[in-house]
Amino acid sequence: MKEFPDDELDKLFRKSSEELDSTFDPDDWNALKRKLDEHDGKTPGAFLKKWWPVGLLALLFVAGLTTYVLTSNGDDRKQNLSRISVEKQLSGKTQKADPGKAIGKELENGSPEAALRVNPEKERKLADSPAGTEDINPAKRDLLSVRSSKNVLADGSKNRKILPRRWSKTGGVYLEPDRSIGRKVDGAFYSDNKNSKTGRRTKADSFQKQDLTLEENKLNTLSFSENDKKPKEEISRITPVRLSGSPDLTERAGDLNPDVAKDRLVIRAYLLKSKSFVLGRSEKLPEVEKVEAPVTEEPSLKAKEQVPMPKLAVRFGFSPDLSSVGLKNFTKPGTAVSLLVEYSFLPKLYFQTGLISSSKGYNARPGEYEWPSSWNDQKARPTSVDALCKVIELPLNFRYDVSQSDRSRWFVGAGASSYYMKNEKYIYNYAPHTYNVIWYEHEAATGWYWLSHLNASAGYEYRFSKKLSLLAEPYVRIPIKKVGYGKVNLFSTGVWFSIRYTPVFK
Amino acid sequence: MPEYNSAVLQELLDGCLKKNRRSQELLYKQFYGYAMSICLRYTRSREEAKEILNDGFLKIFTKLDSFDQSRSFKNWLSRIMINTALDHYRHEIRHEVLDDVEAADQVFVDETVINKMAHEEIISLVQDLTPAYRLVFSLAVIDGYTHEEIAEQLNISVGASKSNLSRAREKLRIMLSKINIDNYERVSR
Repeated sequence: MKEFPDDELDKLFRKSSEELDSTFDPDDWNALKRKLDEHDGKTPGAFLKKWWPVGLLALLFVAGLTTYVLTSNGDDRKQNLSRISVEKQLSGKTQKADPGKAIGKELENGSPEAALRVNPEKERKLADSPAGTEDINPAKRDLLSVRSSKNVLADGSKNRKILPRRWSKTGGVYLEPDRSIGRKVDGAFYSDNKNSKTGRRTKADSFQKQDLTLEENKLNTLSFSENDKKPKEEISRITPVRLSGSPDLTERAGDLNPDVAKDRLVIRAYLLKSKSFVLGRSEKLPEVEKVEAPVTEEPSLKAKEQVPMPKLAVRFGFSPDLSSVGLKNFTKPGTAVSLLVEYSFLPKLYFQTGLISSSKGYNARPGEYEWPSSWNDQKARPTSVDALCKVIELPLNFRYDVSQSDRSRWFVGAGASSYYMKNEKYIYNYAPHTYNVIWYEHEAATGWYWLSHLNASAGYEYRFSKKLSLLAEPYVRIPIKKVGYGKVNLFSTGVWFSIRYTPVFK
Repeated sequence: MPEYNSAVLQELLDGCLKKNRRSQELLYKQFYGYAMSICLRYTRSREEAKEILNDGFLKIFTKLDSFDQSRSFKNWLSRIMINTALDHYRHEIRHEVLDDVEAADQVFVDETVINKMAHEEIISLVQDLTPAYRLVFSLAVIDGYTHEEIAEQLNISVGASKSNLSRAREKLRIMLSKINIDNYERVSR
């Protein structure tokens, strides 16, 4: 027994510390391996933790794109509307004034006068009818049609096919001018009845002559609003008369001088008063009201029928790829990107093909992995194999739309895939104190495995514009052939997040 | 290439830099015993030591690119393990209670008994110290830190470091003498 001085005590502990050799515990390494996998983003939780900002950015991008597309569609509608107005004014060629613009505004505001004044020929026909019975109803229809068109244009949601000028072709309403008459070189109209030689001229002719003068003057002043009270008052006194027909106009065509030609798009709004006057004298107004409904519906139906059905679509998708051997150990999600083409050969049924590039990581147990002949020299077998394979996939799938609404649809898909094993990396894990190990890792590329997997999927598609839609589609790849260097039954699953572009072919 | 970093080690380090799991596993196995011996004397249990060991190796694998390969890897690893243990101490054990060392004017230890003790038993005595004594003793006696460095690392005064070291030694002597007494009683029966 002796006293233990500091230096000896220190020496004792220092020596013990240096000579202490703890035996390796594989569980410790497995615990660290899990930590490393988490750190490297090879587990689902770590994957999400690492990549959530990217996912958030992608969502923001899609949301922004959606907003942009929707907004631009609204602008297109407005542009279409103004284009309709301009077209209505026969391309608005007058340069001093911009009647097209003015009239377009009036159309948007629902002014029936503005809508009617595009057809001076029709007005003449109305005036020609002898306080008539036969011509009164069409005139009323014109007015009703214009009222309908006012509504249609006001809500801004219909396309250009619902213009009054087209209605004439679809039933009952005649607003489209006869372009074979009253037309100069460029096909535009002019109106000048001062040379009428029919001898059927009545009081209205003289009034109309005055009107034309007023009208031309107004055009030169570029405004209808300030000075047209007086002519309207004058016209309100007009008695509807029967005007001469086309022969007179044809004769006058040659007399049109450039100044008059410039003003030929003049719209005589005040002539509406004459129509009102005619209608006011009609006794058959209640019967005319019934005509309104079919006139508005028929063009829209036609327009619907004319929408081309998209046959072809292109999809770009991204998916986490969870692969495993034997439906377990889904610990290392890879990634997959796809570029697919879809063709609809039957309603609701699509054929789908393209290319998918994926990175598949999995862990195989010894019984699940076939040892190649080159392993005959090594008796020791790994306890497990970690694999990371880059695969190009060629899918041949059919997609069927189960249910469909205006903007969304549910669908199912099935088919088969061929795998091309582009690159395979294997790491062989051994138990502690395993000796005579030759193979620690191996890299290979074993090529094509034709129709090696069956595919099944179901998904939801949401259309956010005419041509673009977003899809979410969970899928599975079920092995029917063993693939890769170790000939494993590789099962894969994931969820496709895709954007689908549908070009419209006419 | 310094001679203490062998070609095999260099190959392993290259593999670890490429995040090759196999290389990481081999490096882990190679330095497991050494790193564990460090961790054990800074912790109170083997489980706690394992936690620090793996945290330390995680740092090594993730910060290997900052390792200056002209220096000894073993020393770098040792420093990382000690720093990880100190981080653990700072994080987990802030409010410890210092043991009062029993008054013992003279402690006598039988050298033959000590010689028969395994290294694990001797290190376990360090583990039985309170964290403050354990850390100061390990840093000063085994890892060669000065009292200034210890004071800075543990955010204590130099005097406190010296005091803790003295008390730690005293405590260890008492534990060793108890082992002697137990052993004497067992033999005398």
